[in-house]
Amino acid sequence: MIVSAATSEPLLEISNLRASVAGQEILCGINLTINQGEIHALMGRNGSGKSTLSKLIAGHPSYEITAGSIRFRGLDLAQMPPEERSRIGIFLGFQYPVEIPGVSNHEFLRVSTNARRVASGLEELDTFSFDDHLQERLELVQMDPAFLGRSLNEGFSGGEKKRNEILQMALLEPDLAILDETDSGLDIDALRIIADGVKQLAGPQNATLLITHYQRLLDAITPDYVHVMAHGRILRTAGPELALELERRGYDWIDQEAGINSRAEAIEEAEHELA
Amino acid sequence: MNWLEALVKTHGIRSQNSADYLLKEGLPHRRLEPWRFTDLTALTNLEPLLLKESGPVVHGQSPLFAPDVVRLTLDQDGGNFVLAQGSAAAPAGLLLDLENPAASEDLDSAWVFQLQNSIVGPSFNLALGAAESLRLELCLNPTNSAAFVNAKMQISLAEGASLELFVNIKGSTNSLVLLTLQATLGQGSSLLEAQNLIGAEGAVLLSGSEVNQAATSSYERTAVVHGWALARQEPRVVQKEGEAHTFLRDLAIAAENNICDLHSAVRFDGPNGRLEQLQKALVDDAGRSIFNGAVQVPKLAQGTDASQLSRHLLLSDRARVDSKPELAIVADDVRCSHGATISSLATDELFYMQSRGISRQQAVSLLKLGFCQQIINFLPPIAASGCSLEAVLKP
Repeated sequence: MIVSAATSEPLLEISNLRASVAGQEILCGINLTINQGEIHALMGRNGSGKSTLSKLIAGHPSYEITAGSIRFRGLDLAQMPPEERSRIGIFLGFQYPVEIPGVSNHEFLRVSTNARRVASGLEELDTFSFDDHLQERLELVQMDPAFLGRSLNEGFSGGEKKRNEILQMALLEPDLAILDETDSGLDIDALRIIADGVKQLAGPQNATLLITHYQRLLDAITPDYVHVMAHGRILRTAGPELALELERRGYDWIDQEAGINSRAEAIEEAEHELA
Repeated sequence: MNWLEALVKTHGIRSQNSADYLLKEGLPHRRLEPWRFTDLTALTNLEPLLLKESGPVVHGQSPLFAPDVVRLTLDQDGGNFVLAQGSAAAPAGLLLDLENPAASEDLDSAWVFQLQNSIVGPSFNLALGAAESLRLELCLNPTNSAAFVNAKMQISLAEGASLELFVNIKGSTNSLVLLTLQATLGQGSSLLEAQNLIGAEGAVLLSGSEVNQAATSSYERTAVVHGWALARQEPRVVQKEGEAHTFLRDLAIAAENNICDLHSAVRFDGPNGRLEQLQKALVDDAGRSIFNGAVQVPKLAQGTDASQLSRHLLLSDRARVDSKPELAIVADDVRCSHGATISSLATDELFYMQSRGISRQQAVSLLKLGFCQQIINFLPPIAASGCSLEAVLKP
């Protein structure tokens, strides 16, 4: 097990973060603090900036930070390459895991696990030790070992790809796991398995940020905080009851309370301008 | 004396007719369409007078070693094929002539055949009878620099015969390797050919094959080529009666100033033939890859099912790719597909790997290996074991 020392400083601290891609501003002043032992849920409409935020934290090169900062255990991530972020304990579970033909899933898992272990001051696992370790983790996500012999995510169904993401999370034992719509495209059984796996991996030493559209994931994993994003900002933060309210009322009321036009109003306004 | 004349006269004439024809025609040049993209500087940089026939000294077992494989190599003078040390004995009654195979003088053949037929060199003639099977390895590893190897294979498979042919070549510095295969496949026979062709600085490989397939035969070729200053390969297949199956899989790695040039041609002279072709090349530094894939489907070849896919991975601003699928389809009841892609490493694939703690350098290496693995996976296990690309693809 990879254990980092508990500290009183926040695990993740995002301050007034503004970011753009291809010259277009996507995030317009995000503030978010996540401490060890917490589970956060980030919700919002499509295009609100949730995935952009997750990729920025993980270090995607296409996004540019134009103002503000992201700190992880006090370290400024701005200039840190993605692999370093992973090695210090940040994990992003992708919404759309990429398929990489020819790269063996097993080899990929072994190389990435050892990269994290070495960065944590542990010895690399040899092939046999790794296989034993892997076997334990496979059981957590109830994944067929046959998928290990295939190319990375190639020909996997949507559910299998998501299981493979959680398997990677289980192997890397991150301090902060960001799961970007891990529940999308899953049937009920697969969702239960994934949710059980995430719950088992969550603990007082780490933290989880769940990006989701649906209450069904939050029925299985109760978050400590729910944040709602719109137009590149976090408009509201509350407890798990906020997710239930969103399920009932949708997002328009959040926009209205924040003084932002609702979608219906925005469409009406646009139509009016066109006329 | 020009370059070609010096080469032919220094190493002895195999066929006067071929030599006369060759010297009259001269070296190919860029005004000829099949040679338009092929820079022959690496070839003409070799000094014909200094090229020496070389017999290999084989240390230890072949990486492809398996106890049932008949293994051929060259004798000490490089003039004849011989059974290699540790080779399985040739099965009793096997028609394997290592000294006096019939000369071929087809002047319509590709230039590499004309060149080869003009110059003395080792050759063998193998004939497998009905339902016979054999695993054969050809191991050509010239030991001296500026080596000249001119190897010729003639193979005939009777009905239902089966041959696995492993060609394992490791060129030396400034060497010239000519390699040809002429094969006739009888009904229901199968030829599985795996080529592992590793070059060296300044080395040139010119290879050609002419495979004629009878109905229900199967020809499966997987070739991996890298490290040659110039490697030109010209596999040609004719399905004489259609109804046969052809697999062509090629992987080329062109780095530094390497040129990898593949000119393939498949012709269906009967109905219901099948072709599956995958050509891949990884091009880095100032390397260059050329692919010309001709597929001919005349009117009598109804029911043909042919697919051709060419994929290039371009890793440098100075690298260059020329890809030219050339499908000539006259028959109307056929299924023929082709695709050609040229791309660089995908940002999202790199990011995905980096986000798992894998360094960018290692991610690039894994992606390059993965690209190649799609061809390597088709090599039979004993050939794949002799084809390690990790060192070649290290960043």
